[in-house]
Amino acid sequence: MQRLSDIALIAQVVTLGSERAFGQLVRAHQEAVRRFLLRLTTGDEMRADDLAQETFIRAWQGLSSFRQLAGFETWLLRIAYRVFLDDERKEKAHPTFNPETSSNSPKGDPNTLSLEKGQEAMNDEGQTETFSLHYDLDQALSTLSETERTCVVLQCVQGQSIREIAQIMSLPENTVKSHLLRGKKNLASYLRRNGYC
Amino acid sequence: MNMNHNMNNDEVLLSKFFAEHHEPIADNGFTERVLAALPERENACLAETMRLRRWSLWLNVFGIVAGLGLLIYLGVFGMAWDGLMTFFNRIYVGVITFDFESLLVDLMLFLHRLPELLPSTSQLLVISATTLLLSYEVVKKLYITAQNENWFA
Repeated sequence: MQRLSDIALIAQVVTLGSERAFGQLVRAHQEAVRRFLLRLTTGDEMRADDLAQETFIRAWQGLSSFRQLAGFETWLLRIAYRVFLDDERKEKAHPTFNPETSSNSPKGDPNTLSLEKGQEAMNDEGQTETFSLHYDLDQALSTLSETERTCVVLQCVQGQSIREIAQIMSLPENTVKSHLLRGKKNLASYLRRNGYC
Repeated sequence: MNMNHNMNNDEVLLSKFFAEHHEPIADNGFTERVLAALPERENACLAETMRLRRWSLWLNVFGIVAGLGLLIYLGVFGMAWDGLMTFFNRIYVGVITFDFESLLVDLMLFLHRLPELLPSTSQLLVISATTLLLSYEVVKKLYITAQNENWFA
């Protein structure tokens, strides 16, 4: 049903250039794209939203090349992954200082689950709990390599099949399988080491 | 056996972990920000349609010229012209002399000769072969364009 509705909206955007129809597409898929990028950037919300915005702008510009061989969400995630890789390349070429991510980044101490950041924000109990849960998730994911993390996020968070992951990452299915196997094994042993069971 | 057991345990552990960490992400004005940042988009579909129309126009012109040339070469026009001239001449004579019987006979004669004015089997074969050749060229050109412009991606 969602697929049919997507196709109808895409047809309106491609033939009439309807921004209203594109807005509906963004509203329907923003969560998947932002969640994917949020996990890839290990919890950097601002960067994830910027990349998500760039993803939708590229989708708007290239929508006429969408040929429905893949579902629309898979196509969007493919663009999002490329946008993320481009940004990573730029970041590596010209590193920028970000006080928020540098002091409290999950990448800071990858060996143990840390609640430091959560403890700093104890004003609202509910908020603190959510915050530390996210922090744990991103810290756990940050122990994986970039490719393993992407595969695990796409399967476990986004619910994509191995075939779709292969399409998104432009990798052979067997390579995806081995990244998934290794990534899941590493993540599970990391969680066990830190008392999660 | 033990490896499979461990893998299943990992799957259960990860499913539980990700389920616990799943929560909805509200739009919070994200869509509006995206729409506000949208650049002018060239309507690529329209451009493709226009390109195909231009192609189609040139193809039609070429087809008509080639068809006319072929008909002239086969002498169909000459035969048709002769037949029409004879027919109208007879009508003219028939009207002048008010001989409606001969007019009727001429009409029947013309209808009887009509199949002779149409292309013969060999001529139809030549026309079909030309059409097939042209169609093949068009399909080939479209396929090359599609590959170059990545239509199937």
